[in-house]
Amino acid sequence: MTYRTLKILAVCGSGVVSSSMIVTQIKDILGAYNIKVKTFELMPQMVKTHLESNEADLVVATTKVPGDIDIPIINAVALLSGIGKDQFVEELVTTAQSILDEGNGG
Amino acid sequence: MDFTAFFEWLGLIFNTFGSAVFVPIMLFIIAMFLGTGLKKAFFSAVMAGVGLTGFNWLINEYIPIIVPAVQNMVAATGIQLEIVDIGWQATAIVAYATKAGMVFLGVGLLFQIVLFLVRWTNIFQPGDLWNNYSYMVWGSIVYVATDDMLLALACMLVLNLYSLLFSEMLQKRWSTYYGYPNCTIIQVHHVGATPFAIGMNWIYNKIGLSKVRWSPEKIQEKLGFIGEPVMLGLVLGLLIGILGNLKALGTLAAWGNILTIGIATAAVMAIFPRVAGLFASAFSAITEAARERAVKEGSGREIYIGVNDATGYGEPATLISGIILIPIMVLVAAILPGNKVLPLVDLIALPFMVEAMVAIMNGNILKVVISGTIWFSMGLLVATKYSALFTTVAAGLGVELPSPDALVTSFGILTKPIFGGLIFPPFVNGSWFWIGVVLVVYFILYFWLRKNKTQLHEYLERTADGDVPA
Repeated sequence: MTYRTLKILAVCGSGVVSSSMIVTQIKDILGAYNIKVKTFELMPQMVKTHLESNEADLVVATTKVPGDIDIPIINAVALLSGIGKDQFVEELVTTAQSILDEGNGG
Repeated sequence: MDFTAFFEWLGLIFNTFGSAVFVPIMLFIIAMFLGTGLKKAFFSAVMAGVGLTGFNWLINEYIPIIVPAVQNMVAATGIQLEIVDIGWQATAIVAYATKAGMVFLGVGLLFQIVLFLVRWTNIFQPGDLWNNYSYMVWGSIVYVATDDMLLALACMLVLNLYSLLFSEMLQKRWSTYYGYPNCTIIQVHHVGATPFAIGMNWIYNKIGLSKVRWSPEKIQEKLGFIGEPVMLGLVLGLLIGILGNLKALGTLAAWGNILTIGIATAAVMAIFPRVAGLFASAFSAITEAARERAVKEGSGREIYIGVNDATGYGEPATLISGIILIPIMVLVAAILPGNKVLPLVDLIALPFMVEAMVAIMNGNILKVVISGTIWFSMGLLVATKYSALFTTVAAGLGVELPSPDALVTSFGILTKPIFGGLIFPPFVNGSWFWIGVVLVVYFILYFWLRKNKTQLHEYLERTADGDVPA
């Protein structure tokens, strides 16, 4: 089964350091399930504005994201600390697959 | 081979290849040593080279625009803010490309792992390997000033010991407040505020400031726009441009100049993070590899993993306190006697810079804003003092300055009253007596904390929101 590309917003404080680090790991994790991802890295206060004019499927964040966001947000601090990484991987994969299954018309 | 000969040899190799080649090679070696595998090691290395090259292109386009603009502003208004804040991203990349940085990249990592394994500390610091650049900045200043690599290395290691000490004071409070179990921030540029924040919070509680609570959500609605980096850059750039052209505001040329500065500053705010992001992705594999090994070793005792300060940035009270401090610090910089630093690129980093205070003061925005104003004002004087040496470091790494008297700094990294103002000076002055004093004080504090850590942590939990009767 081939999936469409999943659009992920990677969020950390500066939209710089930890977001680029988690992006590398997210691509590895989802790559193992043949899920292609396109990521965009940004700061927490930019997420709401970004979503007003851009589409995305999922937010993966290492900090809190202000405002009402209507796509799923997954906390990725486990990728930085190594604590609870397995649960994170499971949550990420399940969420990604359910988003993609919906998109395929169920 | 003795140390001096080794460092000379290292310097020769370094000068021959340049940082965009040398840094990747060092990272590749470290990555292979940590067992990341050939593919990841190679990717890390290439990304580091790409980031360094991109940084050099970008900074050398921006500096010829901003530095003359600031010099015009100083000439036109008499506001003595001639030291341009080029931001922590630029500073980090400069630091990694220095000789002191290269030495610390390996030695610092080893030092931090050993301190953790022998239980000198319960913090696994390489969880946030990236932020080691902050030690490298101070180390390279010592090296530029004294030409003594061992002294520079000693300085970096002592700063490292002190920052771990402050992190151990802060760890439980930070972890509780931000809600990340067994995680703490360890950045030398943030944790230095811990003793200050503890003292200030004691005063605030005495005068009843804990009862004043501002809601972050309400302020976010009104002030949120200041926190958008591109808009902030545009406004600051336009402001500098207008002040620099005060006498010629009726001319078309002046407005061309003003708008160019505005757009260029907005562009730097948007593009710097991208370049730094490329560079930072080089650290992903080695950070992960180092952590996985250490967490296994460290199981069975209470440990804290050093995490990136970005984890706290988006927390509402943190973000808002930082944003309120943006205009305050610009104003303070302009009127503070003795200050010559113009805070610019790093203003957007203020929410990072207040994290230790926010945790100690349990997100009380008013307390944090007052403390931040005092703390960073003292810091501005430290950054002013060392700007000439820091500029020499940056210039040595290919940052081209338009005139010999141009000065640069980083508001986020060099405004450090305790680290830069107290612990660092003995090293840069090469004063062995005061280095001895700094070490003795460290050991006294270290053994005091070892004995009283639980009590201190309980005290901080109890008093974060004002003294609660037991």
